[in-house]
Amino acid sequence: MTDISPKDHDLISRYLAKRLTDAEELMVETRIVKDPDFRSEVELTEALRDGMRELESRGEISPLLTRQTEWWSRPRFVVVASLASIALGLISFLFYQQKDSAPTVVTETLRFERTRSGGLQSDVVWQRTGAPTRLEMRFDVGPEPTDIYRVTLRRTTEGAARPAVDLAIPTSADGEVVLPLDGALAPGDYEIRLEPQPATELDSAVTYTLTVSGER
Amino acid sequence: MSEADLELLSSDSPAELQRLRDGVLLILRRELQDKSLADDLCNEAFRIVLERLRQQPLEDPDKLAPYLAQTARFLARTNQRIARRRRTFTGQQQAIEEFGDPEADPSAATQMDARAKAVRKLLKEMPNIRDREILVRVYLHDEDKEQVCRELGIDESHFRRVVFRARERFRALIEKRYRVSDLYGLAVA
Repeated sequence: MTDISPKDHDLISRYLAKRLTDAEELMVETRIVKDPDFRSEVELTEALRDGMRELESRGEISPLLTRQTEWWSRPRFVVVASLASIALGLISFLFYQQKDSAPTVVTETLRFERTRSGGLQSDVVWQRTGAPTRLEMRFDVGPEPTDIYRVTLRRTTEGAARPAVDLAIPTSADGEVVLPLDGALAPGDYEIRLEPQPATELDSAVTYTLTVSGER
Repeated sequence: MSEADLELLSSDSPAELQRLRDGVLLILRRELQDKSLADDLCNEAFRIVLERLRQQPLEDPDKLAPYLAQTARFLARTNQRIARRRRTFTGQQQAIEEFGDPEADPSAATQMDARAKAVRKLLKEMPNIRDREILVRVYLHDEDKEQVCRELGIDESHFRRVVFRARERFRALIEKRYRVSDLYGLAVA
């Protein structure tokens, strides 16, 4: 900051623009010689003028004198922002769809009573649905069950040689044998055999039948 | 320069003498747009003044500065007259002058670029377009303060405020990297 007055600034501008009389010019140049602050102001003004001229020669002055469009309202930004919004919306929608269509596993409980139905009909008939299903087969093994049962499940429709399931399952606290199966069984007839381990006189092996209907 | 010379110039120290010399150089550089010629004529101006002072010292020491300034201007104008007289007119003078390579001095080009950047930053920082226009009218188009105020419908106090703040900001921008006198010296080099 210097002690240069507004009048001095005006004088300097007119000096640099060569708009002074000879007497005024001598007065300014005398101050340039004897007053370093005044000389510094002349140099600063000259640098400012030179910078302006250089900018004008580059065609950069006129744009600076017109109101600039804010960056967020420039066409390019609007297009990019719109595309980004659309893409984001699409991605969100796809995620939502994926989440919405994520398979929900349904647990179906099939109860096999000790009192057999007899005749031609299967003990339990189950209709498959399209939804993924976790089957839980519960077998009533009577009032005095043994601790463990060997459970075998065999598909009889096509005469499978080997059982699909062959497990030793302990009797549950409420006196049932529970056979959980991940994944639904294919349509057809099945035979499920429970053998007490070890076999006793009161409790012998029992075979249940199951018919699974519906489409694959 | 001897102590006697310093005494003749009413100067106590070489630093004071340097300040006088810087002022004379500024006048000559502006007038001649030629750094080395300005240096030569500055030396010549001091030689003339010293010889004159040896014969007849100044009664009023305050007259030294105007005497130096006047001598410098006289030398500059004389030199310009001689140069005009020596010039060979081909009828193609404008074309010849335009043929000069503006990028011949890379450092001058760099300094010019620094000034342009500082001015661009200065103008961009001014939120009011009208304030930018004030600076452009004053410093680029050399318009009078009265004319600018009248045409833009502003009062003088607003004009002064804008110009003052702009100059201080420009000074700060430019002094971050250069002394103003360095910029000026390189600009006319």
